[in-house]
Amino acid sequence: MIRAAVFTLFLGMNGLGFSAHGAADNIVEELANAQLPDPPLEPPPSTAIATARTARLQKALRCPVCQGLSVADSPSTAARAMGDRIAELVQSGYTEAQITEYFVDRYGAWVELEPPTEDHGALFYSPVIALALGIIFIVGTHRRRQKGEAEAEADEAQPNEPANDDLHPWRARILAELERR
Amino acid sequence: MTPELGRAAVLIALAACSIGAVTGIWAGITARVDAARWTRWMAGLFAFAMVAAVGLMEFALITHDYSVKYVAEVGSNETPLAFTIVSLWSSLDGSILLWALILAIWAGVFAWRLRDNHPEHAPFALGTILAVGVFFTFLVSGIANPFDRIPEPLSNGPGPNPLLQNHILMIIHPPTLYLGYVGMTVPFSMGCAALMNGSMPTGWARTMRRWMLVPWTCLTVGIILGGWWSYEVLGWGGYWAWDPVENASFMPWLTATAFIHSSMMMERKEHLKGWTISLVMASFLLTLLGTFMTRSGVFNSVHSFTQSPIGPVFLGFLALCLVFCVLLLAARVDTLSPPISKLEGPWSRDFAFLGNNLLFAAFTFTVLLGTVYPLLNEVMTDVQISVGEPYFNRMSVPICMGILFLMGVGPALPWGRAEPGEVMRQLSMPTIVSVVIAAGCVAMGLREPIAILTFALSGFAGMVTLKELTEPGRQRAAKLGEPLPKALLNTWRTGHRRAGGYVVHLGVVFIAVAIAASSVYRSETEMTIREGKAKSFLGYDITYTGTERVDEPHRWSRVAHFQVSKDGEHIGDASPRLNHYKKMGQAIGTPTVISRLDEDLYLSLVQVDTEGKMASLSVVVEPLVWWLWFGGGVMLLGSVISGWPAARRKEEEDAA
Amino acid sequence: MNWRVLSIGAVVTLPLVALLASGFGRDPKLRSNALEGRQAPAFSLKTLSGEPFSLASVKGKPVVLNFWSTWCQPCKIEHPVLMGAAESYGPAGVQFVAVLYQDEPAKAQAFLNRSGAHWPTLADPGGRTAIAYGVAGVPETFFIDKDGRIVRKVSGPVSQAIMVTTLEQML
Repeated sequence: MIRAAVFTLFLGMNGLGFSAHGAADNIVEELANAQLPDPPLEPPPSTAIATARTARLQKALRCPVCQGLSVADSPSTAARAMGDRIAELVQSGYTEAQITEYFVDRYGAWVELEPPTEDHGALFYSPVIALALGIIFIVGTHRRRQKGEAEAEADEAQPNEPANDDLHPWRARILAELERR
Repeated sequence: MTPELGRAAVLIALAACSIGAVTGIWAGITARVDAARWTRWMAGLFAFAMVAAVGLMEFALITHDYSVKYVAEVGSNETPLAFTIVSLWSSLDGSILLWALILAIWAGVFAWRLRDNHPEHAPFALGTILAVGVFFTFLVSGIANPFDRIPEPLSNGPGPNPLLQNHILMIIHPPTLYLGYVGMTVPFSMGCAALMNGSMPTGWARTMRRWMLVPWTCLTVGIILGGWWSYEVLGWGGYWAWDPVENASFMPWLTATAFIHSSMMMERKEHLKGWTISLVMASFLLTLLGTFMTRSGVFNSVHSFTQSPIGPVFLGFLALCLVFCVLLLAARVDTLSPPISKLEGPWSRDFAFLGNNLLFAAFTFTVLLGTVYPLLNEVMTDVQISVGEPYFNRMSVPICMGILFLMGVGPALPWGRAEPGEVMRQLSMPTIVSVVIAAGCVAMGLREPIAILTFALSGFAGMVTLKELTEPGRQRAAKLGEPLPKALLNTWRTGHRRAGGYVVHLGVVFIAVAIAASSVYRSETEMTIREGKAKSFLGYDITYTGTERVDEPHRWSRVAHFQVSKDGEHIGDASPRLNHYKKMGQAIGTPTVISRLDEDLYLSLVQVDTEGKMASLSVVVEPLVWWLWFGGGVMLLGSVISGWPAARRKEEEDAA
Repeated sequence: MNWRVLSIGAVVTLPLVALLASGFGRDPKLRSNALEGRQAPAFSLKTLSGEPFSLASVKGKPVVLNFWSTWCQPCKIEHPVLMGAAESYGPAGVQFVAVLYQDEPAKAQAFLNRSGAHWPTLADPGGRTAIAYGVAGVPETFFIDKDGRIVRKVSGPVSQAIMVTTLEQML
């Protein structure tokens, strides 16, 4: 039922619609390409490279009509159209950066499913910092306690270990655990 | 009559909660037995009134009584009966009603189970549960009242959301998830009770753990069923998308899992009391936060036109609870008695538990940050950005690896101090196994480090877990001369809490392998097939045999039929479909999954031309998906073994 | 009172509540007005009846470019506003153009025959033009001035008031 929210999202998906893989009209293609900021930087890539690039871009760009799904994952017609467009642009030799820029220019920064690391350091590094602080805290507390205990133990003699010396430590541990339950 | 009767039942529930909240806290402070009894009666009344209210709502839904507002919103004469019944949770007002019902049931069961135990703590806890109940019954009786009377009712309604009517899992997934989600209130209240009373005796800590185990299990199963539902219904071949809705259910699960582990430290060593209570508080607060995020319209990016009036009220309640928790914790945490024994050094299970808690806390923080970051960024810079799957995958993979590693190492470490050399000896066998697995993967041609590392760590953790499960039995067999199977069963019965926990770990191992395999080695393509012809993908031959139209009262569908064979052998028929619902323009697909032990073939229909001569399919092949659902089952089994009440009673008798 | 717990708790919770509170009143719908103020992407498409139409051919005129589909309810709400505006501003030299988004031309033609709208409605094979304009849902309307610059973009149905004020500015 929390998912009810998700249902509504998919109302706008899976459209009937026409085929998104219709034959490309050459004139249209040229005109649409004329809108790109820069000419392709590279000659058309080989098939293997093009496939990998297309897959990466389709995974990294967001389907504009879905909630948080990438172009690759979304079954909606809009995402299919966008996926085909990405494949075309890759074929004509645009770099990944150029294609990303093409879509960001038109849709806005949100079309990238992951914001650029350099502008959003807090997002990427604060979990790491939090983890590091946690480790420092635990280790620090442990050190402090140990120090305090070492001083206390100087007076007393025995640590409170169970005296299962005759048993193999492994067995001793399990037996002790079973007893404690 | 139904609108008025329903309203009356909800108002009775509101009154019962209000009275019970006051008497509960009062009984806790004054230790008066009669006030405690009153509180229990109020909890019973709350449960009874909510069952009556939901019964009335179901009655109205089934009889299509469109004078009830909620029925007018989600009911329709064409909807099949089963989906009419479950449309109770297909919309906002109904889901809050369900929330109140489940809370009432938890309160009633809690009051009954603890009627003779823990007189110092139970009234505080029940009072707190009922105080939470005040808020939800207030919502149901006020701004989210589903029983409003429609003065001039129509004779039919729009029906529930089509995606709700698409799959049988929608009938069991939401209540399971809610049972866990709402159930977080109980351990939360018990943690508050410990603070209010100023003590956390071992008995109360044990009881608290038990009351966490049940909602935790429900939440686990609910999350996995949710993934299964996405997989079976949404048509993209995935089960998890790091959607805010999914994160909302995942965050409390993370903190609850951390609690289950830290509470063992608390029970055994009386350590980490404040921290453990913070974890139950966080679990509860995160359920509120999650509900707020998914319901208020602040986070939903599509279809946010319906801004709910509940949003601000919910945020107010969330803020109130946050302030209450912080103040209560700060004021009372020092009254809890200090630890009786000291924590051991790095080569001990103590440290593995600390590491586990640290990783789970960091995981929760990461998911929370990623979920709220787009809002944060927009408030700060007015630029909209997305934080989606790539971010969460990048951040969570190392954390999950760490958790998997600790899951392997932790159980092999003793509670007490251990010599590093001894630990190394314990871990030598699992290490060899994991190295062999990694080498085997490379030999089989796998090159992806994430997958290989996951498989190796899973092998390591699985090995240690199996050893921990069988070692006590072998020890017993050797010591008492029992046959090994009997000895194993005996140790599992007496140590069922421990054994169940390790079975849960085994389930996690299955799930880890499934996630790594299915996401790293997923392949997909799209194909258009002419009628009578076949196309192949990765050894699968898919033959299109035609499309038929199926008419039902609430929808019509185009069902395309395919025959699938692998390596020349027929493995099944697939009938993915596109469903057209009345009163909705767009078609919603239902994919077909052909599940096999090694991999799933996932077919969803993209489009069929008007004559049915050409069908376009999206085809996904994902290895080991089946392990995911199986692992979920193993986790459920482990939880049941761990928390089985009959064995527990016997165990208490044995102890007495 | 444990002041350390209190201060940590306050540091963790207060900003979160403040953030969520500031989320109210914001429209979480994704906006894509990145093109506002920029040159309108050129396109050359065919109308539903097969005649060619390009943006370049109407250069020098203000253009109202509307993306729509028959399966979208808000588009139907918006339709009368477009009809009225075309009637009053068409003679003043404003060019109205519609682009069909993810829909079947036959359905759209049937709808237009019923409503009687007579501005050119273009088929957009492969959704290229919609992508070039960053369309993230329908209806979306672009107001393009005489120099071919996008002065305003409206997501969702255009109200009468916005239609009139924007067109008055552009003329």
